[in-house]
Amino acid sequence: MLGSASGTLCLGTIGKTQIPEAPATNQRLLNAGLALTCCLLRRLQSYFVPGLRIMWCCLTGGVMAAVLLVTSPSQLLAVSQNCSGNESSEDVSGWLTLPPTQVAELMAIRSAISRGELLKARELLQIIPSDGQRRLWEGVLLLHERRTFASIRKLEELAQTEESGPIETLLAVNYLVLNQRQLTQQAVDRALKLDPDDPRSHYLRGRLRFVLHDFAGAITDFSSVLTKKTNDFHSLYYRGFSEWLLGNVAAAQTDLTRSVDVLSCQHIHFPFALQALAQLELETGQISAALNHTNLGLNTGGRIRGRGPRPEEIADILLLRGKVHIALGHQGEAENDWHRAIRFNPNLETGWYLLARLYQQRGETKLAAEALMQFQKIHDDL
Amino acid sequence: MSHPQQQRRIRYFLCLGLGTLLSWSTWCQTPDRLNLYEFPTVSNGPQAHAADELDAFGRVEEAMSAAETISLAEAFARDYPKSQLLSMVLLREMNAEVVADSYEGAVTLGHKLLQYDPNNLEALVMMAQVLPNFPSQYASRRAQIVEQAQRYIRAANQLLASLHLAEGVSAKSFLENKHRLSASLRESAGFTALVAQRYEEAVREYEWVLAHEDEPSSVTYLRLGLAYYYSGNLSGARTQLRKAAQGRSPMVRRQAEQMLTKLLANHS
Repeated sequence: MLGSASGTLCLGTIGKTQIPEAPATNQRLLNAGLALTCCLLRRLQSYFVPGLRIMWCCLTGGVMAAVLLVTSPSQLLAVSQNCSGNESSEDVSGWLTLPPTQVAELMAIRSAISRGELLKARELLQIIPSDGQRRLWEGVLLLHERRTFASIRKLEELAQTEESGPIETLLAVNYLVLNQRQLTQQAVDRALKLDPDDPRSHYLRGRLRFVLHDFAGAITDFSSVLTKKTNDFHSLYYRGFSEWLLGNVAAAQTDLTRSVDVLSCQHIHFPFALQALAQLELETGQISAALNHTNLGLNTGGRIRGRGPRPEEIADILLLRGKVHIALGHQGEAENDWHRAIRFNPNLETGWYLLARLYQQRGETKLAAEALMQFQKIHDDL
Repeated sequence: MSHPQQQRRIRYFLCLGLGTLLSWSTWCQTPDRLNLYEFPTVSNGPQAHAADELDAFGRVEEAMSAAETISLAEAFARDYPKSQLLSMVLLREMNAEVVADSYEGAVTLGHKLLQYDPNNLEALVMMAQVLPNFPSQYASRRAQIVEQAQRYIRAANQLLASLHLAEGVSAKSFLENKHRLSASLRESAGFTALVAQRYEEAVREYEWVLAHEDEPSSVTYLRLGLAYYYSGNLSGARTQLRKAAQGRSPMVRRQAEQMLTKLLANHS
């Protein structure tokens, strides 16, 4: 929604939305293209004299391998990286919204939901006897189907007959998705009363406290989560950010670095951690490290879990890398990055402002005036 | 082993190797479909004070028909008169009244909503759209209705100009929404001018809308056609009415064709 003047904010005003998407279309197309090329080349080789066919096959194989290496660098990098201790773990979306279970039928449902096969999960749910567990998993499935109100209804109905931490935390997730902070707090308080050490409740309370600017409280909660979920990159990021906001730069850097390590090892796209770390490094004079991290943020090829980067996110990282280049004295690279950022996000007023300042410093007054005009145009609209 | 057999074997293993490499890369590039949830990062927004209030709101949001929305919204307003969610419910109800073709219902709700929340931009925009579109039994109150619509358009434009990007909202969606509301207001201004028989003004507003909208509706073409017709620009009228006659709405197509027939009959 536009803003707060009218008071008609959408219930779920989401600052950062991550919605699962299919693998990047260009990757699928590339795979299809490679398969087709393979077939065509296979056909073409019949035109070669026998002696050259083997060479042709080797050449084709070499080209294919090279293309695949270029498009999947991070996968190979991960093989070469020391990712021990950063084992692939279910991220917060999994352990927050999918209760653990030892029952085989429920594990199948859980697995289907985590793979995004919601129709299959619904089919599997039909064969579960109608009891508390089935109602709980109906609530879980409705949550994942984004039928938030229906999920709340199901879980609230269950909560009236059964006191359970998982029910309360699932309710809290639903409430928080709708930006209903008061109800979230109430559900989290009930969950913590039932299980004071539940990492889910601490995570949700930490997020609430973060939004309400109680950063010290948020740190306590995320620390509690991290004792049980040491590789949870969300908790590492939010704790690191909270530390940074409280001025504890060293602690912030440690957490953000750990978060970025987990993301790199598990090929998860979560640009905020990289950006925050690079920004912190820039501000504390660690320019080379800032450059490495902004470069890492831009090289998101290869296997990515969840969704790929949005144009606005790429623009933000380019904007930041431009500032890093300025700190290194590379004005040309900075200019290129800021122009690229604006191409990804034409509403990036800061990009135009920085360009105007750069042109001004270089004495290019005409370009500075044009950039400033663009900045003013966007700024007035915003 | 003969030479051709050897070659076949080498080709076989090469193809197998390539196929394996391709399959592996496809598998690697297929991400797990985790349902990732992100939560709001801002501390503002209307809050329900109790679970039953939120549930009642949810039922309004999920209502499948105009009648159901109106009924549930009335119940919500009765049960939770001080709810922070009331504006959103009334707006939804107003929309449902429009869908149900109830002019009086929509206008009454609009007035009620704006009394409750005078700076409700969406309500102002909707009133600006609804008011001039009155049924024939309100024709005697045309001047009063036009004046009211103009007041709401002015108020909405002032409010729109004063709005700035809020925390947690992306610049892109902010600007898209701002543009959308701005275009709605220009359309409303055009239609209000048309109803008030200020045809040149109507032409100016609709021409602006056409210049700034990627996909103008057939209603816009129809109304611009009418504005051109009444201001004496017959060729302009013909062009716009022909575009309206190709639109998806049967009602708009019918009106456009009737006007074209009239135009051709009177001015051939």
